[in-house]
Amino acid sequence: MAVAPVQDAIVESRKGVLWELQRNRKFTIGGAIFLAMLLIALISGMMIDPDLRKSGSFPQRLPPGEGTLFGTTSLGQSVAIQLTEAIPNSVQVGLIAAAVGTILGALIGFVSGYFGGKVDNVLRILIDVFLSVPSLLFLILIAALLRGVGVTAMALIIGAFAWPSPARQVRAQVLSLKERGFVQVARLSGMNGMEIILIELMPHMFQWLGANFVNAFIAAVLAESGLSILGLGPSREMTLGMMIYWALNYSAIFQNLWWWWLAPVITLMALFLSLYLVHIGFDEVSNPRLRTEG
Amino acid sequence: MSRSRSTLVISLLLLVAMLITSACTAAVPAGPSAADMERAQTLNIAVSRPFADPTLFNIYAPGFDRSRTGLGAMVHEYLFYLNMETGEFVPWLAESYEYNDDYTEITVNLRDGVMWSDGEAFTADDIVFTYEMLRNNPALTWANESNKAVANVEKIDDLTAKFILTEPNPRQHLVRETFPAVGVWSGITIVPEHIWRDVEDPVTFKFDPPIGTGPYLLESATESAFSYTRRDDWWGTEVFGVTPAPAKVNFMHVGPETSVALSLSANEIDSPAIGILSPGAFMSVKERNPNIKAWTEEAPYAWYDPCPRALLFQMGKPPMDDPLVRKGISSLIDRDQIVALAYEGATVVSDNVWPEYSGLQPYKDAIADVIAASAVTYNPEAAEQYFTEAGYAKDADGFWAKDGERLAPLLMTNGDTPEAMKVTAVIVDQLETGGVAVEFQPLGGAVVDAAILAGEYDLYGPQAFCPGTIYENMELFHGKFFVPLGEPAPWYERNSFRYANPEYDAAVDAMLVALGENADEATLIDIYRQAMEVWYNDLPVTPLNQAPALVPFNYTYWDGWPSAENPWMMPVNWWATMNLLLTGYESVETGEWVPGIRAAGQ
Repeated sequence: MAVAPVQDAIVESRKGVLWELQRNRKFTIGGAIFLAMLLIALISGMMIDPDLRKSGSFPQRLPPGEGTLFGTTSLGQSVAIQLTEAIPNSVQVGLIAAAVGTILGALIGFVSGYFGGKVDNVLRILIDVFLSVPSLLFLILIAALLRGVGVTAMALIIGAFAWPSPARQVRAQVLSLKERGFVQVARLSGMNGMEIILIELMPHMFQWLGANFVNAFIAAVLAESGLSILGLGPSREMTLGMMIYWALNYSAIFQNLWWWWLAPVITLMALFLSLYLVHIGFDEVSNPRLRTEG
Repeated sequence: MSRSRSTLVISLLLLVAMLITSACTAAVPAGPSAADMERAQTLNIAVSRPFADPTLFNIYAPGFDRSRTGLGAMVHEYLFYLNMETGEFVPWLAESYEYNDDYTEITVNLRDGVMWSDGEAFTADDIVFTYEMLRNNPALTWANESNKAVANVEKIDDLTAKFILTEPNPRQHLVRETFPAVGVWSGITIVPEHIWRDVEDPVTFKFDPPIGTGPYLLESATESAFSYTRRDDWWGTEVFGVTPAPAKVNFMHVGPETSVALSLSANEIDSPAIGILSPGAFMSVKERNPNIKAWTEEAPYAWYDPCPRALLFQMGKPPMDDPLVRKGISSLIDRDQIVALAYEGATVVSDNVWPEYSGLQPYKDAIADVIAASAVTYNPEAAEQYFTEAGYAKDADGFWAKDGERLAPLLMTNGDTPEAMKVTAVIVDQLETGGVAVEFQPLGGAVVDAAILAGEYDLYGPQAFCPGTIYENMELFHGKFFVPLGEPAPWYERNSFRYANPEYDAAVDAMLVALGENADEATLIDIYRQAMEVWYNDLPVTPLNQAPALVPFNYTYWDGWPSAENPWMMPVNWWATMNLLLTGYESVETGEWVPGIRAAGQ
């Protein structure tokens, strides 16, 4: 008799994650802004003649409205057309880097926490080492050595430094979870280590991993922008960071070409804001104590 | 009630205090502050980066920055300076030089009365010692080049030195890496024997304080500034009867381009070094501060540095070993567009690798028909013909391909310089538009040096071709500098592109012989033409544009700067020749003193 309500509660809570998310206003507003920006950029990007992306396609230094939506650069490119390429590319960096960081981090955290012993000792040291070194320094070093990398390679480099934090937190969670009754039961019923990790432990971490993914996404877009502004970005592809790099390279601020640097800066702010709202939404759903009315 | 009354009293007291203060202020006559006075006597040069090691003053130490520290111009002096604007070879520490009959020796007569800043006399011993030091320490900057060319220096007497050369060379006095004269940028620097003879390791020696013969002493050096003060006891004041106008000279880092532009607008800077200001930023500065003027009043504003830019083809391997492919690529490059977009109009296109100096014009005129028939102008139809003739055809995506393989050359550039990034951004787009699937790779730091010298590129640019004189730039393409791929070439433009054509080499050798025989210009031009016929047919590199040096001067505190209207000297604050901008010099042609800059209003 006592088991049934507990099971019902679990089922309801599992069913409720998506339901809760789509009911969370912050999550939906953030997600809507993000998707709208991405879709507009992707669709208009597909409709534009690729030749119009090349330097010299437009008159130089036109303010917004005079023939082009957001004005043109000193290299004779349309800022609006650059945005249609920069937004998807920056989002791509965020997606790949966050996916690599989160998956790698979760895997290492689960293995380290669940198996313990020597495996845990080695992985723990590895996590601590990576956590203690300043990752931006390494990113600058690697990017400087591999000048001229593409968007995907850039994302992988950033992702390679995004795993230690989730790894440590997953490990801590697993250390506590594996002592719970349901894990003991699973072990007694003959499930092996990987099965327990995937079937029993993973579902408990989904919401946390989702929030971490969004967080890593923001961090990766920021890292890419920083590296690009330093001149270490994907030099043949346009990202929001590379747009700022070129604007600085032609001293757009001093020359009062405000539309050139303001467009990527505002876009980055909108991107961060939308992802931050999504992140808060995730947090509130996975941690009901944070939930506010409305 | 009481509160409002006390407020009224306080307000009245404040008002009285203000009136008294303003009355006092008005009583003091307005005049320049001490800071203003000091600024008016100081020359401030903005440099591009901070100083990595402000304790190192040894100009021979590998990695020492001659351009930004100003040490070579303020503290050191050279035997001769070449004024490229007037063509004069100005005697300075020396009075004259002469070659022997077979050009294996140069005898130099030193000027009497030259003193080191510590009071010792400058003599032939210092020259003999400097060359001995270079011979014993090949790690010193330019020691290798110098040792290859100069076998020995003998002292005839205190004021006469004889250079014994390893092989005949009538141009030896113009080679900066082997002779103590400055043409472009710098030269072999003579060091005081009485200090350096006791130095154990000249490579690691700091040379603190630096002792030279120049009109300034180093006062202080930090990460952000090298500051110099004028000497009252400079030998030139007695010998020439002149004193440079600025009491202080600072080479300072004020920040990136925007900071330099703002400092220039606010009269905190008198001139920026090369490569800092873009034309757009310069125009904004000019609008804010009418006292800022560049070399020309109208576009392109820049002075042309003697090192034009070109794109290198790696001829040591396919696909650029095929002259048709090189010509195809060259025909796809729209140089006018590079000038408009990358340089914002601050330069002009170039169809050769020599600067736009009037003295070189007869040479260029003589090959006008050779250039017209060559592949150094934008011509997409000609490019199609070249590629087709080379066996290429366009694939489904519109890219040139041969045997199923796309023409995808690797274009390297120096990602550390904004100029290179801007120029290559345009070139990559132009080549892609023309159907060349170019791969782009910017490199930086020491990596780019190693890769370029080893020849790991298909295309590299923009590359400066220095020093810009007819013979010296012809010689850069000589087969004697050829090394196989993988081994380091002597320098970027010194055949890192692996060019070797005996027919061309023969013309260069003939030019050297003709120069030694003091042949007339018609003969020299004839040989030049022969060489260029081979060169344009082979096209080892493709010329892009003249090198702009947008270095405006601030006329607020200092006047008499050189300009296109009054081109008495090159506007080069990053060369050792800069001291002549301050002191002026005795004209070789008229014998009169051409004055240096002076305080504004004088």
